[in-house]
Amino acid sequence: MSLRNPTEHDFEFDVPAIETLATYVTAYGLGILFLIPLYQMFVLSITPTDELGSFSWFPEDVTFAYWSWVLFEQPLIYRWIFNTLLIATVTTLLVLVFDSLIAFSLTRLEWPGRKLVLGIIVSSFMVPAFVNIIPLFQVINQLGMMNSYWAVILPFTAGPLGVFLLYQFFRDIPEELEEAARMDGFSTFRIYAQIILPLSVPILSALGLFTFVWSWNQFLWPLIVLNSDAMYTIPIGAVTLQSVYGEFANRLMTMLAIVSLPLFIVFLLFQEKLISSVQLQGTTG
Amino acid sequence: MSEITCTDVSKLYDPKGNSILAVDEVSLTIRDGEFLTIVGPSGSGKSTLLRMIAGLEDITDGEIRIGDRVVNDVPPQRRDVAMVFQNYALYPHMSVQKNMSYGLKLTTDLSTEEINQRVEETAEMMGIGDQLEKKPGSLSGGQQQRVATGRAIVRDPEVFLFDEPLSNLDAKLRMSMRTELQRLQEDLETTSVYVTHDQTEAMTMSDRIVIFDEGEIQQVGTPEEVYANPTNRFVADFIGSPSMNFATVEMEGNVLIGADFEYRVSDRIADRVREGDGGAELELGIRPEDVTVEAEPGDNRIPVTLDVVEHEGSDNYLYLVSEDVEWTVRVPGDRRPEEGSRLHLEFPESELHVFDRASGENLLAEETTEKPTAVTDGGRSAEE
Amino acid sequence: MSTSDHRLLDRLGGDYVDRETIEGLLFAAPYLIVFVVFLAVPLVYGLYMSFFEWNFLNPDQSEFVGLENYRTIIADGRFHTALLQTFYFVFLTVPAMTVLGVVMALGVNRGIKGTRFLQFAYFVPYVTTVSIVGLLWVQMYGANGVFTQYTAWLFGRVLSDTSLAMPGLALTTVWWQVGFFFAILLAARQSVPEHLYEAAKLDGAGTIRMTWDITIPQMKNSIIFCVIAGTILQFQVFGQPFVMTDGGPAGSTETAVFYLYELGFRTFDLGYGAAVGYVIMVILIAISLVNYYVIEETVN
Repeated sequence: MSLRNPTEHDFEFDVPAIETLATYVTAYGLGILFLIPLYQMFVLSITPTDELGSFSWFPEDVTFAYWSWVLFEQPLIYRWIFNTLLIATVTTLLVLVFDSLIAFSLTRLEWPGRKLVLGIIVSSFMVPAFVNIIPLFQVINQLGMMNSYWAVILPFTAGPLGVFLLYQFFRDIPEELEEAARMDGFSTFRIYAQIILPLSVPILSALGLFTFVWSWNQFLWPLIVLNSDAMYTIPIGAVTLQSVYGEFANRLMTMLAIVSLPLFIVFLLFQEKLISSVQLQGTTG
Repeated sequence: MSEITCTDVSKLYDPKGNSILAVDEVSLTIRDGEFLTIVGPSGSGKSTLLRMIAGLEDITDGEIRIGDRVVNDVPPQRRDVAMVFQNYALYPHMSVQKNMSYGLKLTTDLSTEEINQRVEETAEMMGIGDQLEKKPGSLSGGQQQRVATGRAIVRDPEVFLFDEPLSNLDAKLRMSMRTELQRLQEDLETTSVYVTHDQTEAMTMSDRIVIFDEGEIQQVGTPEEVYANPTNRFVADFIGSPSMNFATVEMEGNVLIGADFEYRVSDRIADRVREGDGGAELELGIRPEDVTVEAEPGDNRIPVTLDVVEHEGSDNYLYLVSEDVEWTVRVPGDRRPEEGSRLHLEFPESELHVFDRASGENLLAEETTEKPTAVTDGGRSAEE
Repeated sequence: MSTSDHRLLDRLGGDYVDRETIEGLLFAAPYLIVFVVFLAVPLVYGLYMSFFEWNFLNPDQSEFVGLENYRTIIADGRFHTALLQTFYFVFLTVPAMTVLGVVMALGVNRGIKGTRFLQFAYFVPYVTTVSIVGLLWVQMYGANGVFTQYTAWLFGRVLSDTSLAMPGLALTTVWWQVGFFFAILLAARQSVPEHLYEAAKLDGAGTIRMTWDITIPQMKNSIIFCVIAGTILQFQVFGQPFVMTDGGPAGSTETAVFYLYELGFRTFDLGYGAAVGYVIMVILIAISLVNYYVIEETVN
């Protein structure tokens, strides 16, 4: 038609190719830039001390001495990994149990005040996690829990995110399933354990994975309530390394590489699931 | 105004090595100003063909022309086509006015005033003149449909493409929009290709119908032609509601022998069947409205038992069973035999269809109707 | 719950409704207990503490000072600086992460090869803990680190220069946290219905037009979510200055939560710290509300 804009015509065939090329360059350029710090960590961990004085992409000599040094002569590292694993695992289990129980109660059982309880829990989203640390520290102190695993675990289980996610999910499970089960003589607990939970495996695993990674990586709160070498988690322990090995980038980086390995492995195994568990928060927000 | 020509058009999808031939060497000419409907079951490839005309799918093989221009490598926006999508594809974040003017703004040199004027005129014509400032989300399904159609019309394209545009509406609205679209197309005289799975829509709206199955054209013709003179069993079964009755038969001499009936035909028809076949398994076909129900047995009558009677307003549908066939018969609404009673079906030879059971071909095509079967160029070449 | 609970319920519960109430409360109890003890009580207790000159060793001997702590806040230059520096940090990180997150999400969604690798590269920093991230970047910003190698004009002093330290922390943070933005924006991009692009193609829109006219408006809600959630999270920045600069040089990377930590756990000024915590909370709630309404207004 004569109305057509003629200027567009000249680029007709080249545009898609240029766009695709630009996409590849941008996407992979960013990807490689993003991996440089991790690459640095690894390269430094295998660089001999006499080469540390200057920067290089590839060290001339390669040594795995620091890897064996950390793995065989630094037992504290294992202690930290154990502490972190324990705290993250217990936190995850408690979050799944506590949150699913109350979400079930809020969506499936009628009791006076549940709307109010839900409202309070949801509005606690507004309370930023870190501004509570001083009074929370007092509470932990007065409960005599200082420097214990519980001091880290229990406050982590109080967050509203899981309750909210599970509440939304349980709410959408058809009422008929539960009614059918009741007519079959199921008790409330069996409905929860044998109907609702099995149907919620996808969301429970997403919530569990996210909680695990999140609690594994927490820094500020364990820093406040844990105060001995043997109780430290990886994030706290790693900081103490700086003062000891700050001069020896190779030793420090080896330690960092080793303590980050467990979570990298978790990430490699569950990459898609973990990303979708983060996305879940965006869709409920 | 333009004619659309498809020549040996194929579409091959290749998901992970499993190639799927969605459209198989289709040739078809859509005449200038015509309203042509492509109808077929879902997965038949009809939407793929439409989307290839639109430019939303690459053409694996063959050639599509719009007017005298080969459009295989022309991007959609330069094909001068406008499309109405099944789910309307309205831009949810734009007002109705923006939705309708977007294409004009991008593809024409019209000034803003001219664009606004055209949008307003079209919106008035579509009866949505007072909705221009609203967003699609706040409109009813019918209004959204009008916006989607208006968005196509305002572009004043060479070709309209409709991809099941009414299937998301309720039955009543669908009927009124059907007439409205038809009237609009008649006024605008723009070549239109309309894809649907609903044979009633196809029958009532189109100048011509293309029946599509398994990536191939089964038949092309006017609604009357494809109804009275289906080229094969698929078309016979797909067109018409309720569907044609079928019964497996063999022919001995001049007699069609079914499981528990015999039907004698004239020499003319018997010769015709023999000519096309040679004694293999056959299928007899007869439309529900061509059958009459008699109380008494007789020659060329099929004994049946009445199973269920269904009221459809002015008509009653009788569902009857013989040995291995279920028959549907349409009778006037005041006729209501008792369920369970023994009855006898009769139908005239002139309305009879006989299909080759293996190939599905209608052996009596062109013979049973008075009308000359002016099956069009496109339809013929597709069958070769 | 076990069968013994049910026997208990039978004894307690008269009619069905009462029984359901008791069951409801029993199911809710475990979470409600931790919620009350570790979230609600500290919230109220913090307000109470903020009216005292709090004695850490003997809380009983704390001195009631009324609104004195809040009056101090108004005059506390160090806190005001920390707040401004926190805003500066948010300003440096959140817009950058939003833009970068959109670019990453659009790139990965364009049907290019190797998306699994790209997702790994973009997202893996996010699952690394802040102390490891911090120490790694201290090394990178250091005299023989990769960053210094290619920015010779900075003389390896990123973290020891008062005007470069905060941008340095911001860069580290973008690397560390953009995965969160990326993941959410990718989901948003993937949920834009394909037929809108088909309609736009027929309307004559090219890739860039479609991005501006379809993609970005359709991702609007997720972008707003990212900006608000990102602002709230980044406002509470602590680990990066703690690990990388200890708030320095010359206090130039001291942020609000860092200051809170100083008050609570280095100078043990708990009453004042509690008041500061409350003020930070009010500011954050105000920010998220303002953020929401401003963005909502400008986008519509």
